[in-house]
Amino acid sequence: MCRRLACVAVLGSCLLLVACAAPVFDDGGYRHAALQTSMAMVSDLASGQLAAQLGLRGNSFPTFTDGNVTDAENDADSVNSTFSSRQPPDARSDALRRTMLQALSDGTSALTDLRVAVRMGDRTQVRKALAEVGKSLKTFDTLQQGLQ
Amino acid sequence: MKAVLSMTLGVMTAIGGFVDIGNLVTSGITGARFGMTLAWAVLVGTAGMVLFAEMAGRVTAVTRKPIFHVVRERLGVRVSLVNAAASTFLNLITLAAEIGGVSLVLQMVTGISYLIWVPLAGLAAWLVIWRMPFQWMENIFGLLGLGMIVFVVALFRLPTDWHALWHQVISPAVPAGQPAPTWWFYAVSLIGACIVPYQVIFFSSGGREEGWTSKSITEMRVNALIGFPLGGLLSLAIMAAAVPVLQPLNIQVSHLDQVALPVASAFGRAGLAFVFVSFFAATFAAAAESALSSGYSVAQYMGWSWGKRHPPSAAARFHLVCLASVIAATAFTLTTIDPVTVTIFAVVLGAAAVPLTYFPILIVANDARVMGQRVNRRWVNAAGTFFLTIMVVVSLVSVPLLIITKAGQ
Amino acid sequence: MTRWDEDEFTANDLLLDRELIDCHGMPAGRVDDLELSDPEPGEPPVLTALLCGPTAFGPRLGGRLGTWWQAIGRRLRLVSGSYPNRIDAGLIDHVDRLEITLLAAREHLDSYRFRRWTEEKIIGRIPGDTT
Repeated sequence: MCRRLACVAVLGSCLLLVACAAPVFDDGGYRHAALQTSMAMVSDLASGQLAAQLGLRGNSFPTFTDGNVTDAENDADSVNSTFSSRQPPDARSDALRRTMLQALSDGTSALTDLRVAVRMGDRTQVRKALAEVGKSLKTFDTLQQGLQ
Repeated sequence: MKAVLSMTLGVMTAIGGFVDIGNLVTSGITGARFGMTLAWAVLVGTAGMVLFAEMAGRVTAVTRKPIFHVVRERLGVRVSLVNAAASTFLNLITLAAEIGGVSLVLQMVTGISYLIWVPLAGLAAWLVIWRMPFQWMENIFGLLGLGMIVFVVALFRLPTDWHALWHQVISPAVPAGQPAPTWWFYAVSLIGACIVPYQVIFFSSGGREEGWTSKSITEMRVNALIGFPLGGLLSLAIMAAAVPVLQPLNIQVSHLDQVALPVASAFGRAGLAFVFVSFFAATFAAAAESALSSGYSVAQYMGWSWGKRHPPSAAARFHLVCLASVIAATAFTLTTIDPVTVTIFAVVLGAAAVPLTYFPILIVANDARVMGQRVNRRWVNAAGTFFLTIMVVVSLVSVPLLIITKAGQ
Repeated sequence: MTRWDEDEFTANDLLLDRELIDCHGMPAGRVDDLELSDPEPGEPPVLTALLCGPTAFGPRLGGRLGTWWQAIGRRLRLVSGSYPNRIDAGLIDHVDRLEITLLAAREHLDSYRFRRWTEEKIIGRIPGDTT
């Protein structure tokens, strides 16, 4: 009897947890996810940017810069794919999805360019990629203001 | 003169030994995300660690028995088995996190993937356990770990807003736009990073390895009362250095190398070199210590002979447990699970498990029949009991917070 | 003759789970259980031996885990039968609040076998052992 009660309790709390953790399928939930995603992306872009700038100034070792930029690129990649796998609940969300996906893929490819340039040690290319990263950061800034 | 020198050495190793992968990761993450609003958690954790370690050290010095002897003799065979199993499990996760940390530092330096370094780090940690004399191990890595002072110095070089930092320290609140459960979750993780069960097991068993007696209590107290708070200060410095550099850029720390970025901004390559050496020393020493701690806890529970002061053949089963722990933790880290995630789990579950070892120590430190005149003073008892209450609360909320916040996302 | 530090105490207080120290000061295991004499009616039981090892430890754990522990211990034994390793009460030198000191060296105790096995088969074969 006691064991059965325990089973029910465990099952019940599992269900409750699942209910809490499951994504919310409405427009508000989608916008919240977009905000979270863009915050994560800003973090990755800024981290890659800071590391590359330190590298340009000679304040960092090449392997260390490379490591930071590579991490940022990988993280941006996974942020990108996580968001694009979400199903937008309605037509309005779908419009947001298009804007976000464009911005996300721009950001990711900026970081990829940065990684390539850092590894080659090409300072002009690094500066060029940094400019792209900066542009992408601005885009997300605007996007976030719209989402809040 | 010699006594002063040895005491200074002891304090310096205690500072270096206090900080490990848990402090590096949690301080870096929270500084970038919440500023100094969680500094109180480091203070609470450090105070608790001082109290706990002093009691455990005193019990060991007087009874010549470290923590898990006491646990089994006081709690009986069944309850203490749960204790020993939980501690060993936590030591293993911590060991995996530290081995991952060592490998991440080596990846930072060489650019070669950390997975290549994992088996080498495991092997090196085991060799230290197997061959290196106890005092060498403590002193060398403890002193190298002091290089983290570079974070303190960096604060003076960076555009630090001391006024704002101080304000956040003294009037903590959840920063705007941050979810409260996550803030509390990281508070628990910071407390857990400061009071790590393996460090207390190691501190008390290490006292036995060095042959502490009642006469060593002063030296032990100096280590705990000066060394650990200074270690907590390093932890706060890592947190504070992230505030002027990473927070304005909205960088969320999710990798160990991001923790080093503020120092690179302040001092360039020379500063980074300090960070590399001290991070390596801190994580590597912690890897050896947490592996030893699993050996200590199992051997002490079972009543086997244990310790590095005996030749391995005289403490064969103890060394067998250490070796098995290193192998298991290395294999776990090789599964490519993110070492930073493992670290977060280790510190939070560690915080949950603190009462398991803390409670029996508090009881024995109170037992005048065992401790004689070294029994707890009244105010130590009051502080100890108050702290036990805090840790029980922390322990109760930690796992729900872990689930609700999905490990701090 | 065994020296007792205190006149009155419970088994839980000074005997069970205490550490055993042999005559050379080396740890020699823990007291997992006690063996008492079967008293004549009206007479108190007398401590005849300390018991060590998994076949004594298992039953004290109780439950399924205890049964398993005991079963594993029984299978690892050289001799058949599951009676635990005995340390005769005559071998006890001194009992105090901290530990139980024995008159014998740990090499001569039955409970020493597992340690010797680990030493010879595993630890002794790893290079660099300093013996």
